[in-house]
Amino acid sequence: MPLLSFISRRLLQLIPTLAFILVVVFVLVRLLPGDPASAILGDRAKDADVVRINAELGLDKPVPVQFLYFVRNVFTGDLGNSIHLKLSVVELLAQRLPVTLMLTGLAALFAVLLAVPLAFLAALRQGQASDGLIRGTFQIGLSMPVFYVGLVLLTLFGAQLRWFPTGGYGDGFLDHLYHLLLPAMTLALSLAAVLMRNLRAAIIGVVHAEYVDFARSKGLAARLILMRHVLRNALISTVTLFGLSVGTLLGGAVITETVFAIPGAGRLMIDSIYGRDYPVVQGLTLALAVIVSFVFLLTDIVQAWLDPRVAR
Amino acid sequence: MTLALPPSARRRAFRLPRKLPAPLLGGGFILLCGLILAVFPSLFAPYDPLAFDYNALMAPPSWAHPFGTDNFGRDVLSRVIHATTIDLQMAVFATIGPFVFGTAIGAVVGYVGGTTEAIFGRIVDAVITFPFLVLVIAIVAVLGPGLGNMYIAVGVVDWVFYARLIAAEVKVQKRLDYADAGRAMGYSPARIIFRHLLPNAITPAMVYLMTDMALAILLGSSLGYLGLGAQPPAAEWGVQIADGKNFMATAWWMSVFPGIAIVIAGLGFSLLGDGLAELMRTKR
Amino acid sequence: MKMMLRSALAAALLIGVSSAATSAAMAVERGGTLTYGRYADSLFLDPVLNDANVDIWILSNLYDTLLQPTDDGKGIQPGLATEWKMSDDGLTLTLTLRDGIEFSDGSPITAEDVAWSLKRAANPDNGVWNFLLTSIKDVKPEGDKTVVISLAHTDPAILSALTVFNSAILPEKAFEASKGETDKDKAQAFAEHPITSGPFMLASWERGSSMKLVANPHYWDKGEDGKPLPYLDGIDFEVLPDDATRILRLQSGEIQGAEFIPYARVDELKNADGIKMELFPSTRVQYVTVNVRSELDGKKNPLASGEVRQALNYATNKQAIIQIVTHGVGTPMTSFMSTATPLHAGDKPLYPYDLAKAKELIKKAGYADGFSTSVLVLAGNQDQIGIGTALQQMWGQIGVKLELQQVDNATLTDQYRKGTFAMRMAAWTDDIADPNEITSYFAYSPTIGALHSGWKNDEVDKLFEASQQELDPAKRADEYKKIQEVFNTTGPIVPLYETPYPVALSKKVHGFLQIPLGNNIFSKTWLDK
Repeated sequence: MPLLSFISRRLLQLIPTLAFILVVVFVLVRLLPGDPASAILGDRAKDADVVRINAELGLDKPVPVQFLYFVRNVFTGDLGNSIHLKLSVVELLAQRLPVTLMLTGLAALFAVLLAVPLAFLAALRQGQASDGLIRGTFQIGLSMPVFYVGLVLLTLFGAQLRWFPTGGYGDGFLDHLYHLLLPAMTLALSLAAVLMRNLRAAIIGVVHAEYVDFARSKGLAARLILMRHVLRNALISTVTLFGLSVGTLLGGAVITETVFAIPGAGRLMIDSIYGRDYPVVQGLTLALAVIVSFVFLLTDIVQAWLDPRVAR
Repeated sequence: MTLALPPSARRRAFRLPRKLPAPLLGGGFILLCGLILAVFPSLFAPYDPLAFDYNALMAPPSWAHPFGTDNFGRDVLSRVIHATTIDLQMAVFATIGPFVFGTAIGAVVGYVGGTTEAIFGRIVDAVITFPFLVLVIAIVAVLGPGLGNMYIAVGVVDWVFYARLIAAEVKVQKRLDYADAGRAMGYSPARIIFRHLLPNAITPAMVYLMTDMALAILLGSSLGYLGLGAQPPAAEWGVQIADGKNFMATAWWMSVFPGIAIVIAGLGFSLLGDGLAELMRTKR
Repeated sequence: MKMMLRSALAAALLIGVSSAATSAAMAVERGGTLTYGRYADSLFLDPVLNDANVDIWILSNLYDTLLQPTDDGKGIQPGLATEWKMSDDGLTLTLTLRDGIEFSDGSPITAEDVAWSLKRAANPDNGVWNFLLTSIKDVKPEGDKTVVISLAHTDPAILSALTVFNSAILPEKAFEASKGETDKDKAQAFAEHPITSGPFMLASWERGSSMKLVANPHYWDKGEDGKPLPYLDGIDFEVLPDDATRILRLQSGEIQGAEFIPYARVDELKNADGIKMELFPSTRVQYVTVNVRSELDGKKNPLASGEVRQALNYATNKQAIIQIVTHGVGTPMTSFMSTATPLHAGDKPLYPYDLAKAKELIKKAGYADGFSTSVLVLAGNQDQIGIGTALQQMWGQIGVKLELQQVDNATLTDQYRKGTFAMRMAAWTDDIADPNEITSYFAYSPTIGALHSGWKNDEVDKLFEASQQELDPAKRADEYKKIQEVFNTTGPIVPLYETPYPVALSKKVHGFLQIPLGNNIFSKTWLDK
């Protein structure tokens, strides 16, 4: 099975990547000015308190020693405890990662549903009014900051029309889904615009390529040409871009999460960075790295399926 | 079916077509206007963008202040005009470097493949998963806050987008007949990559570059929301929108006009991108 | 007798204030759950080991203290203790516990629990709040109902200290039985499912999202209808970090209260249907800390000159800043401590705007051509950015070029603690109904070097030390008056404004109170049906 060996090879390659990311993050967060104790105590911190609390946390030891402890614990499945939330990092990740996965997943789904059909429409009517309208609308979507879009959606569909809750995360799976619809739309908007623009250009490019002329000359139905040739070839760069964008979304939806009051990984990350909550930053980075690697693996597989030449 | 470019076709490619695509002209016009505003803002701005007017705090749009004033009584129109300088700078500086670097790396990686590609793939993983804010804060900590940091932070991450886009395209292109033809003719890999493959593979990256310029301006606004973007009192569209957020209900003009400016600039970039893509197709 | 009189007085004061606050002879209604939007989640619900306002300000709903602050935040009223008596030498405080008090699991609150809780709070190895209880030498239970606190030295603020969150009473046995080796580990385990002594208990907690409290059926205090408090069945705290979302959710009726309303929106909400915009008096002061070390970054520091600092003060148009940043909600400071702080002295706004005087002073200091300096601003904090932008413009008129440096909180604190900053924006709220905390941080150099500014005044240090043991209220007030005079004229700050706590509530909510120290009091809150 070439696919299986491909996947297992990629999983093996994951190990050095993770090790590299971990070392860099571990060192870099400790190089940031400030320390957990004074970050959280803020203005009331007295020197003696700061020294005592940092020592309690083991932060008075040399960084390499701290790293060895950390690595040893990682192998036993222990990512340490959050300094500020007084919870185990594993427990925190179990709470926050599903939220983020669901949010990103929904956003990606919406973006694809929005971008793919409209990109085809725009590309096939290149230069016509409908092309201009679609592109203009997406351009506006692309140019609006997420907190602005979020607030507009919340005001309109939450407070005015009462179709959706005005933020929050709800209780239970279906309720979570219901709460995540608006934020996912918000995130989807700019992602859809990026994908739409790329796909439209790609389709136009491919339609003009010789082999489509060739296929058409053979008398195949236009629809079939599109399905078999255009879509497959046009999607290559779109899939690449999709994977990259979803990767950045996973840890970077901070503002959307803040506006919609969703307890996701993005907010946890920024709070932990601001609070110099080293174990959480490390644990979260590790977890996100694994997830992103899987997303990329998936896009690679899809690309290989779209164009078997790539996998060769 | 021979798709290898005959030498004459290549020479023709470097001549401009007689009729330039309409999007290129439209986008070019918008950006030219933007450029003029960016270079000579004071010629067009009716007021000093930093001057307070305590008697006109949050004044709605009027003949005296067509875009109204902000919570310091500063003229929003003048600030939107002066912001052009910073915003166009951001759009270009934050993206051109990553575009050039990423394209070069991506082309080589896509052509060579194998272990190089596997290593490159892991670097991409590492860059994308690396917490962007750790990076931004670390850079701010070392260099102090300001826009230069944003360029660096964006540059560190952004190049992988271009590299991956180009690599994927080059991988497809190198299997096509004309690349084989080039190899058969004994061209050096560098020549094949940069003279033959890249011109055909660059369109997605080009289109994305123009999107990315709008995204760079938007990132300025996100960083402004977090306080890590352009520093006050400088006018910058994204920061203006972030500052106007609390006043959306009482003084919508503080955020809407800079928002429109971003839309127009974004439109200029994307039209230019579409136009360039069209131009390169006619070249082929 | 004296003690009886005092608590009677406190009770009378309490009735007066609370009836004014609720402004109604309406019959209270029981039941219902209040949903309250907070800007950030709590971190750690241990009274002693917590370290932030997000914990402090709701802790009193979970844990009761022996004494409680009055609604105006300045006085003292009975809590778990009904009576207290200080010995004549001022070194022994005897407290009598209320009859029939119980923890939320129904077990009695004993003198032993009290002694253990106070000793834990005063232990210098525990947390960062023990400085409020440094005078405590020992705490001993005497029988079931009496607790004797012996002091190492006289302490005029000890009664106030016993109202502060960190001296709250926890169940010793349940705490010590919690999993873990150290006090810290046990506190963590205990705080997951705490047994409380206050009006509410913790029902559930989704970190970063929501915290649900339910009424403690064993709470001692009685409501107007003679039945036990609290009136509410429970409180749901929702974490809504974005200001606009918090307000939107209140307007759509999904929550009934929202804290930290941006000043820009106070007027709008005052006129909104179904919403009460409350501005609770607070001890919050907003100021700029100025580094007065003679050298900074290897260069001569112009801010070391008292005349330069005065010039900056006179060049600061506080009214304009109050208008721009707080939209008229704030008031100019009349001393470095807020008017709501006990022993505050000063009736005129400090440094009224006077550009001519500012120019003259800066010339006299030898900086007629001005100089460049910078101020640290908390990244993304709109109020601080607004102040900074205004100061940039105002100080520019006397030739001082101000650069704003937005940095994250930890970076800011790091530069602050190292004393490498030139200036920084800051705000302060008291934790204790006494001037000693703010004065110790602001003016008394041994604590943190007067806001890490390098400012030191021997007279102030001596006065503060004396005041910390001074039992004569008149003398102590006089000492504080002198400290404030010196600090306000030569100190290392540019005072800006005081602001109240802006809280927006649904009109259905009654009896909610945020005291000047910031504590959210839900015990007498009730909802219209």
